[in-house]
Amino acid sequence: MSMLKPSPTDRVLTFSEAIREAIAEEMRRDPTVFIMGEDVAEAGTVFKVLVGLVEEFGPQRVIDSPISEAGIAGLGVGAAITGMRPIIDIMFGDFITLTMDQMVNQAAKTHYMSGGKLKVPMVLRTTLGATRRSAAQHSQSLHAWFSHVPGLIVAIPSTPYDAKGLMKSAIRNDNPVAIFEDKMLYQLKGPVPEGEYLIPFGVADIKREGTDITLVATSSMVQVALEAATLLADLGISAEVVDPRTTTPLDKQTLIDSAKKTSRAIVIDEGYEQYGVTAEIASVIADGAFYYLDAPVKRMGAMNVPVPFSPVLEDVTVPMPQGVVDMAKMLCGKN
Amino acid sequence: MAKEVIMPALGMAQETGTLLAWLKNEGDAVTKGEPLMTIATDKTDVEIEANATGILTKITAKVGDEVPVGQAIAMILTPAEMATSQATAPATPAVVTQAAASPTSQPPVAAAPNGAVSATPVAMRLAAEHNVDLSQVKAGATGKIQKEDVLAYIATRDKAPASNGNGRILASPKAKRLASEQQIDLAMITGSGPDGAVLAADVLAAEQKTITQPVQPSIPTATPSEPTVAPVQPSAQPATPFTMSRPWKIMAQRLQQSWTTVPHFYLEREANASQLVRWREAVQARAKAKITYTDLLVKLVAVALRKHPRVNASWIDENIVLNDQINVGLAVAVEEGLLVPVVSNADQLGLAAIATRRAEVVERAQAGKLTPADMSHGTFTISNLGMYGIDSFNAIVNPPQAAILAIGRIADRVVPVNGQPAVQPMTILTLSCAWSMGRGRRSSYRR
Repeated sequence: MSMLKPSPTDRVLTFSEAIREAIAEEMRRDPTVFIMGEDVAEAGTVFKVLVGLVEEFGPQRVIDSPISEAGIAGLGVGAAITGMRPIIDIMFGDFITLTMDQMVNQAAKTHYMSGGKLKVPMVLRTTLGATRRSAAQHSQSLHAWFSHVPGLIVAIPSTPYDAKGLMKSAIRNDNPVAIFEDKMLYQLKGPVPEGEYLIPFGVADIKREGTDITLVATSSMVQVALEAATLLADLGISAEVVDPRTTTPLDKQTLIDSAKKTSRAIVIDEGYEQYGVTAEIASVIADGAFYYLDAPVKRMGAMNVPVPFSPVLEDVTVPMPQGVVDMAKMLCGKN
Repeated sequence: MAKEVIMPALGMAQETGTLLAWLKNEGDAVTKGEPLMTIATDKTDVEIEANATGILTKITAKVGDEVPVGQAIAMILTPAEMATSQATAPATPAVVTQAAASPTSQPPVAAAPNGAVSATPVAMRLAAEHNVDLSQVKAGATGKIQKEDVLAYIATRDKAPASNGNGRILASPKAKRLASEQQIDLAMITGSGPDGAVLAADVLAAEQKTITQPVQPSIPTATPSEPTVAPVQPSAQPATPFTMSRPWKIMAQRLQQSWTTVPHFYLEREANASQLVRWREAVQARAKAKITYTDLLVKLVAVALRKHPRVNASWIDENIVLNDQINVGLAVAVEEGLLVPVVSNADQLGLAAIATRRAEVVERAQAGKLTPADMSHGTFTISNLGMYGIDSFNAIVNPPQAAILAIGRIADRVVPVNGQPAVQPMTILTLSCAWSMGRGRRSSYRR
């Protein structure tokens, strides 16, 4: 059933259309699925991702909530425990800080602490990513926060195809799943096959094959890495782009195997570099591929500063294709 | 205080000692009680400790030198003495008092007209603190070594390729793994990475070099290790291929002679071959040519022989002659009997080069096309009958060599591992030694 690669002959959807289709399909399939969040119904979210859903499913299942992320998250956990499959929409990933107790201490622990009697099949969908000129409180990529906590699944799709498959898997999964969508990817177009498919969690995808260096990239950074790989090809460096697709569970073996093959790796993620996703993945590679590495594993994340509002400064704080190219050249000894 | 390092007397009747190895180099800092050198007496080999703390210098005895007991063979100086000594008495052999008169002493690079190194006091102090030989430092325009000159020297020295100053070789993990698989010495490779670190490509390039280097068919004629009694060395038509029967006849005569005149003794050891199996798999995964266990054993034996030169010796005219080269002979079974083609300089060849050479000579042996050069100058022989399912056997020493290693098959056996019975691939190694050469204890080294 699950197809792991889209075909170039598939129809083309945008990232946001793929998300909407996934949610609509699941809501048609399962009446316990509903969505709640700020501006999800009338506005179809501020990013227009859910436009049309309230018309099809009505305000009973597409619910505009008051501005209280802690409250919505708590409602989601309770609804999930009592048999529903809620999708909780947190407009900006920056606001997940307000959901932390519900997610970390309730959602992630309930199944364990009830001895398996209770489950929390909820989805928290939210956003990440900078370069949208939204300043320090609306530009962060905080997916590492949830990735730190056992009991939570974290999906970070990078293409329309992955977004649909991961969203459907998230809704059907009996565990709490946080899915982070990059705000800058919503208009990205890509092939999405007609009909149903799921993408399993913990299975990385090799977005481009290469032999000289591995670029492990997540979410929007996959596009940055792919662009860098094209530039590197002109320099005679063959880069492999690997997308983990979920940070927890993490497909360690694919990452390690790729690094073993190429002997070099850069990990690129839009979260803050310090104590972040790049640190975890780099350590997995350094450990698993140690005797195959010909250079230190490098990390590229968001600069350890609040994201600036100034467009010029903002662009400096996140990894860009040229920066990846420069780092890759250095590791490959081509300067 | 300057201390002389003397050749010690370790036995009542000992008159001389042979220097086997310096464990420290000229200019190294040594601490009192630290192992300094290895000395062979007529009975045993002994590590000698440093008798003072300071800098080892004025080494006069080379490895292999036989030195009368009581003679000074080096000095240990304090850094301050070092600076003074270099300022006044550059590079002299033996004892300090001879230094001034020594006609062979070389003037230092920055020599003042009176022969002493000319340096400012600050430069001298810096040099002493950083263990810098002032005679190696180039003076600036003034002709006098300044502080800057010493600092520049230190900066260059510390940037020396492939070493971080602690003597540790910088290399990527992958480069280290490749080098260990190929038994290539990382110190011999020039690194192209940051700070001169050795990278995988450097190791692969070094390996390529050992493959393309022509395999020396014979050792230089001037070496004392030239086996003078080798009957396999025909003087006439050296380049003409032999017919099958001739070398076999010669081999038969030699072994007959060996068996009847050389007392043999045998050392047998069962060895766990699991690492050997894994090693071969790892190497084979990357190699184009087929790598056999024999190839790995040639390499292992060659490396072991480097550490145990007495086993790599020849018995010539009632004398034991240590061979400079390590040329491993391979007993090859052919239609009419046994031939022993030689892999020359096996310790310096990469595995791929050994495999290439082995495949070449075995093919020629089986085709009856071996040349005398192919079979000359072996210093040790390996006979592997593992492929015929033989568990173990005793081989006859191939004179003038000291020993031959007989290798049995690798077979799964139940052996204790951490106190529990486990099935492990095991092999039996039997070393046949000529009694006059091996003296038992020396041959039974442990891996």
